[in-house]
Amino acid sequence: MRDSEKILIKRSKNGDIGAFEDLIEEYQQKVFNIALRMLGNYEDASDIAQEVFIKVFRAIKGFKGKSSFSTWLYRIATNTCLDELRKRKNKKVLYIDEDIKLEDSDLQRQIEDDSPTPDVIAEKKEIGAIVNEAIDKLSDEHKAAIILRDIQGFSYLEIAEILNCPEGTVKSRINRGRRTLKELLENKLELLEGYFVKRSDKEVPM
Amino acid sequence: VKNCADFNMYMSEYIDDQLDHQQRSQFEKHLKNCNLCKSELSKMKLVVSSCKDIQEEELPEDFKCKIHERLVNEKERSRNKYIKIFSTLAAGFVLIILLKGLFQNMYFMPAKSIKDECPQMMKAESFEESEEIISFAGESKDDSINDGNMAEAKSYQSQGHAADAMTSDSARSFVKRNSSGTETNNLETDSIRTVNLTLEIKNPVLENENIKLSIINSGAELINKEKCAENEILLYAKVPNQTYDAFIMELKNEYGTENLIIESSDYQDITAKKESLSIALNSANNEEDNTDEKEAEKQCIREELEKLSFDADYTFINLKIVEKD
Repeated sequence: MRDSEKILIKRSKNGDIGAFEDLIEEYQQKVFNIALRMLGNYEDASDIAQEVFIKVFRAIKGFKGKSSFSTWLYRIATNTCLDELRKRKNKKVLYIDEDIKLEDSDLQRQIEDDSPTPDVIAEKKEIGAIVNEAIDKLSDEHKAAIILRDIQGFSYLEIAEILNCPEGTVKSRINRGRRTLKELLENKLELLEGYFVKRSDKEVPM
Repeated sequence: VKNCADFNMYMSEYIDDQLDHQQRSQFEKHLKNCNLCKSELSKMKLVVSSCKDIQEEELPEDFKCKIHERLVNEKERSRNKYIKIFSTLAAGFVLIILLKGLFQNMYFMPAKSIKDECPQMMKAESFEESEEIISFAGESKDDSINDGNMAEAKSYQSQGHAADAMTSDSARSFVKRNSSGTETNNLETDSIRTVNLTLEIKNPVLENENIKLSIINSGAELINKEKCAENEILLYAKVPNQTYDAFIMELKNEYGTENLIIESSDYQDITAKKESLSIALNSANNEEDNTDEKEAEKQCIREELEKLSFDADYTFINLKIVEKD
């Protein structure tokens, strides 16, 4: 752990809000994006991500440094999202209506997004929406594994620490998650392929 | 990797380069011979690329603002919680004391005020040797409290002796400054001043609470607990250097100029101590290893430095209240 981070943690333990805000600065966007992909809409993601940081602030006094701060924080983030998904299942009816509305507002934001090549961006957004929709259909466990691995780019070992499970379990969740995604996207694969081929012509290949 | 089922199982690990050399070559061998698996692998790769291609979204504009608000609320809430717990405990404690006092008064002895008890308690030993403490509230009617504080009394004792052992030099210099009437506050900030005062009044024990009140009203802060001996009370207080003069004036106005005697003042030089702490901090900062203990040690040094500078802004008062003949 970096020296500066240690000092910020120490000060946060004493209830120093400024130090805590400095400490979480670099993690906020990532936590928000994990929540966004897990929960599927902007407003819930914002609420839950805030909730995560309040939880971290409450719990930081007990943080012993056994794992790195970031791993600990992402574990709280992932668990909070999984809890939220579990809660939702109990009152799913309420959410169907809301999801449609919020997807609209997501679309709104996407249109407002200004970037140099609007057509490519629009297509990218469309592809992103298709993939997101498929990810949303995965089981909670597979969803978490796929988001951490393929969207956020964590290593297998990091994911095992974040999800607090053996690396073997992570491997199987990632593989099964991807296979399910592959089946869900089966009839969209041509579209995806076309997009990537086109993109590799226009942009620097991945 | 013997068949297509195995191949399916290891596909992700192959894509993420998690297979060892042997597994990898077996996997690739199967890949060469099985067209179905080949196409499955390319589909899987496409899925993975599509996920990787999903863009990071920016934080909502009000996100940091909202977090800040909630953090402030959270801190406020936890503080209130502690105050609540503390006041509940304190209330419980007071109730126990009151009930105990009431019980003892009712059954074992007639109601007796502290003013009568204190001198009796002190008669056995002199002020120098044993200094009993009366609880800060000054309302204790319970002997057991005094027992509990004996250990603390010991630590204050040393302070009392130090005050007695003032060098006559520093005493003189202070008196000179004082008599010239231009007593100033341009104390060097790198020393901590302690002043020994004696106040002569008619009935010290009776006036104890009133004196404490007037000390607080004169802008000082009571620290530690007072010591009480036969017709003698020792109070400890600290006053900001800026208001020290005003504090002395207030006391003189209240109790008469001739009754307040400035015995001596002591300057504890903290320059050397500050320097050695700074050096220790620097060397700790320069060290390579940053273990938790090292960090804690550094924090200790920092806190000590801070406390020293903080204390230097105050004049510490040892006020002895004696009976006037």
